[in-house]
Amino acid sequence: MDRQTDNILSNNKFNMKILKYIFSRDHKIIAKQFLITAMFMGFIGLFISVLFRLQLAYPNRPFYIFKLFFNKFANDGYLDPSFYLSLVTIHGTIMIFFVLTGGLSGTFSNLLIPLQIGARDMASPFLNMLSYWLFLLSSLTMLYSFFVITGPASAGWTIYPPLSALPKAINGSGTGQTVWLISMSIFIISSLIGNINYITTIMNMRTQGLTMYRLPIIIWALLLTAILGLLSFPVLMAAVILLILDRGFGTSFYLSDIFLAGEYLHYDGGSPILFQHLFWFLGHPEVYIVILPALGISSEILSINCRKPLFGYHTMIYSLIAIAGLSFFVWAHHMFISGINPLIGSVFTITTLIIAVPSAIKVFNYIATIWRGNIKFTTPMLFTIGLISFFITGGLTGIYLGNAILDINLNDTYFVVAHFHIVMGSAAIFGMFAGIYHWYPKLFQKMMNEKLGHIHFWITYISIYLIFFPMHFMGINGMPRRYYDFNAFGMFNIFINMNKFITIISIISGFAQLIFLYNFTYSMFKGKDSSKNPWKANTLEWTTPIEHIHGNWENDLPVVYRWPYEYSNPKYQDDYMPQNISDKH
Amino acid sequence: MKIIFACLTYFFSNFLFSQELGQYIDENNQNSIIEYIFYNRYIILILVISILLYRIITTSINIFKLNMILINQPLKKIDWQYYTGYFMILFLLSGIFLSLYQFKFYGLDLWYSSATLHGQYYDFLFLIVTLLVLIVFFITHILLFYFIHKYKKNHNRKASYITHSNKLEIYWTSITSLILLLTVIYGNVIWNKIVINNPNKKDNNSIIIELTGEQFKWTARYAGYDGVLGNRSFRNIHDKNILGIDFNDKYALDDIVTNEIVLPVNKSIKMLISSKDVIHSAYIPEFRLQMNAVPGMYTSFTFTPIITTNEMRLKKNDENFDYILFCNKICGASHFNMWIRVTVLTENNYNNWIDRQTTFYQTINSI
Repeated sequence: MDRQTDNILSNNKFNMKILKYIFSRDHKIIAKQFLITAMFMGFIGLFISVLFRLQLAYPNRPFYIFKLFFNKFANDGYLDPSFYLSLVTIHGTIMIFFVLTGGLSGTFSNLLIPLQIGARDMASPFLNMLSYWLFLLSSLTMLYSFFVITGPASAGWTIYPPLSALPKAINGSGTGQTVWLISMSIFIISSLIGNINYITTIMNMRTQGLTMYRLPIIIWALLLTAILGLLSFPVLMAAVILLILDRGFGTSFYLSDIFLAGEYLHYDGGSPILFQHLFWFLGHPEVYIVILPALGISSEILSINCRKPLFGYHTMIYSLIAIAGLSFFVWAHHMFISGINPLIGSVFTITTLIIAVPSAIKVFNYIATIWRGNIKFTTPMLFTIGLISFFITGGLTGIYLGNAILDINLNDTYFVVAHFHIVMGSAAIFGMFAGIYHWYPKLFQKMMNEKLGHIHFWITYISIYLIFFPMHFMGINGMPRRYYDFNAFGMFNIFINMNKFITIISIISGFAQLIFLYNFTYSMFKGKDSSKNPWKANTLEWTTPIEHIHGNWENDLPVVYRWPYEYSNPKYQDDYMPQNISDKH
Repeated sequence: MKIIFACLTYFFSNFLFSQELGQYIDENNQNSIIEYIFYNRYIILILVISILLYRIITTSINIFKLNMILINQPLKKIDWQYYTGYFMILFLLSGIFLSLYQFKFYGLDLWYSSATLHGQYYDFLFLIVTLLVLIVFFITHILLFYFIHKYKKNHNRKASYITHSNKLEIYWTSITSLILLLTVIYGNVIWNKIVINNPNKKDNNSIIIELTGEQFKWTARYAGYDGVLGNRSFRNIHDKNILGIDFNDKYALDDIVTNEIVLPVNKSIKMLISSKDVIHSAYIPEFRLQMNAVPGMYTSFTFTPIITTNEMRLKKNDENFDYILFCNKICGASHFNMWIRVTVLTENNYNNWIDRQTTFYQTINSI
């Protein structure tokens, strides 16, 4: 440990400010870098979503804003249909991989793992730095695809071949898809490097007295997230490599019997369903990679703001482990009607609904934590309440989609869009907001404005329900997703007004995010100074000095005497008892 | 603050009205700056009104504050903790109202309008699951928001130190598992009925129809009098022989190729689904039918329509109603416009229709 500490401290030779940010191996700086990159990508993803919502609400009208941004792809302000699909694809990719995977687990793993387990830095600060720079590189590569002639990838974020493999099938499957695949490969490498580092750090560098059953839930969640990522991302890498071979080197892993654009292609003997299996073997753990850190953050914040121990700490850990383990056995529920053997459908119905049990246990434990607490409505607490509400709503619609028979009519409709935007998108992004508001004092030594935070919460929370709740009804009536225009046949006329309503609400909620951006940047410079332990929390990150120092603690590392949720214990005078204070004093 | 507010209003109104702006430009076929500004009078109006409103609100708050100071009453700080609790309850109540209103608005009748035999099983399961889900949805949300409201911060009270209760955990785990188990068992029974052990699969009375997707249309092929589809290969595809049918196969000679699907009512139909290029998905919401079309293999779906198009038109009170099979898997630029009309006729009408069709072999050779 000593040698490592020396190593970190000797890195302090770069005193120039900019160089400090470029070459820093300090986990706190890397966390900031992850956060700000993810926020940048998040705002781009949000902006894209508003653009295609405009197209959906007013399909036959030109928009100046399309012409302004995508001149070539929006002739006279009319959005090009294949470019619409590009927007959908890039929105999905950015939000899932760059914001909710890289941003959420990247930011909070880097910030919280060393601080909460009492380590001076990550196990390998250099790998940590490398992980961030690869993440940035892959983000920029993804954005670069907007500048290639044929436009960005447009086969959906799931990039099912043959559509994604054949440039003749859709414009975006040319250079744009190549850029997508390169970017994703870099992202996977970045994520693997990061995950190995997180696991090693948690397993080896916990401070004295911090056993596994004294870890805060968020560390458990981040550990399981890292394990999930480590085991599932390589499978996507394999899928991506095989797809690259099919696209450029004439193999036929995924392609067979194709007649396209007036000629038959040489591919023979492959199966597009193979790709779906490989993709969803990552794809399903991926949604848990997204949601587990958010659930961890919410457990932490809930306990702190209710001033009450987290209900069923051990059950929470076991249900996290169960979710993580089972998530590898449910992937085919995305493929019930893709042409797989129907018998697989019934097996995966069972496993899918088994995974609903630990998720339900978590919700009940959350509600039991709130019961007889003493709730302080801080902004992070509000976002946590929102998260729980979304997790219930979105989880319940999962019961429909997990059932093979009900999935027949709901697959790929707006019901699915509503389901995953609520349970994975909104819940996870609310976890991220909660985390940012909560650990902002730790990141920037300042507090964020509470009043603006409340306004941000209420607008976002209400508008998310207004946007996504009606989509369930659209889906039940068969409205398909990824449609450029719903007027090609008159089946969905009853939803014309609802589409406009959703678009207007999404514009409002989009602008509400500017409140957050304003609050974030303003507080960074002119916010109220934070105290050492502003939320009166127990965990170790609030025992470090307010100003960031390399190695986190000035003198010795803290020693842990108890579990992290000792709130309102009648034994003690205060309603909290930090982990590092011994009973004897 | 004021500037930000003004900017927000400007952008927002720009967004809202820009489509009308586009229309305006379109109609007049001119887009000079003067007309743009002329049109923008709404935006300017909204801008002015919102600045005025902002002034009025801030001024009145200031007057109120000054008044309070004048009459020597100390200003009470608003207790947001207290009000947030009530906001939560308000949100809960309006949420319950709105979600129930949506059920009323979009109609439960849509969920009973399935036009196939297996669709009725589907609808029954859907109803059961919906009831279960709604009960859980409302109970958990009411508990959540009620607790949040009830246990909001109170300085005189300390939170209870409750760490865990294994009894409770066992209760809610087993109840959840039991409920989910019921839906799984019932769901799998129906799934088997429809897809795996479909009784119609073995009997040869099913009418076989082959549906082929390509960018961006569907083509149907009927087996003809012999009831057997002829062989085909994608290597045989050329200008006329759009499906690549192999006419050396004697079963292929009486095959019929159409651009619409016509089905007899109350007859079991086995639809073989395939694709020429990328993955498509054949989807008819009223039939509760969806199956992907994958190049290189056949997928199938067996179903029995029970309501003819004419009956459905009467039921829906819509003269122009048609069943439509559309593509539901992203497949290219015109994905949104890839559909085929499905007409369900009475058996006599269907037989008349099929007798009128010429075989594909004749069609090709007559051109």
